[in-house]
Amino acid sequence: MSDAENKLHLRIRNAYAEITRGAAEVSRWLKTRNAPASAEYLAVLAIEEQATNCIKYGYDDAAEHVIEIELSLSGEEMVLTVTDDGHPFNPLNAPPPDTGSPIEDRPVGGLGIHLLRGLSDRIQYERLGDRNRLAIHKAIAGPP
Amino acid sequence: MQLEYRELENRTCLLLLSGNLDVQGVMEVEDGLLAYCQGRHRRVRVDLSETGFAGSLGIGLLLRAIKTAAAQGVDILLWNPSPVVAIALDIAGLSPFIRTSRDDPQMEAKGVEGSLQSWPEAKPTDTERSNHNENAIGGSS
Repeated sequence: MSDAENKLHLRIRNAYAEITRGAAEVSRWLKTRNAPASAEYLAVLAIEEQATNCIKYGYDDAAEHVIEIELSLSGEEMVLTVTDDGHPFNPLNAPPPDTGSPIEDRPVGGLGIHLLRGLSDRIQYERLGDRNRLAIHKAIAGPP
Repeated sequence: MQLEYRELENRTCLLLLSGNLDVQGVMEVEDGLLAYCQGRHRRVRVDLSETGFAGSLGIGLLLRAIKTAAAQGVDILLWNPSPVVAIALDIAGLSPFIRTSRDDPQMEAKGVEGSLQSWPEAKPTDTERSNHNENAIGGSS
């Protein structure tokens, strides 16, 4: 498979319906490349989490914005990057939720980045100019 | 996302969540799911065997359901998640609430498996919806 065939570039608008569309497209793309279910799950989770945060908190205006998604598969690794032009926000600064406390005291929020951390091998955040860029790496067993 | 409901013996209700518990899915089932956790049943079993995906909002909804049930003294379990969903639930600290059919002989004895496809769509009663609206737990994921 060529390099181009192993890369997907998507642009979605800052609308909830677009998250579903983007996630479905990524899911289909990974399925056709026989990516493991865990990698597909992580990719969909990352898109949902990052795009939802962006829509909820990223912008002060009601204008249309574009969230860019890039996905690549090499023989041994999946890399997903999500880039947006929202307010500077590094999700890696969020403290982990207390998942061990009694259920009645358990906070409901803060699970998104915690899940991404737990399911991936490495996450990097960069602020590039006026854009946030989150890159999520996951090792995959064998060729895609 | 669909929520299907089945009344079992001993004030047990079984809820089948089929589809993806994503942003859209959560909006479609959250009122119904939380309504069934308000205390009319002694036990609630949430069947996740047909839930293909659960994002942070979806897992947050399951956590809200568990908290709602616990506050009412309802015994609630998440039943038969797929391996990837089970891993995510574990990371979220919900593994104590996960069971498989083999762990729950009462469910097996009642022949629950294999009959889920024919269930009618869940429709909480007006009383359940009213209770939910009055006692809803807030928060986002």
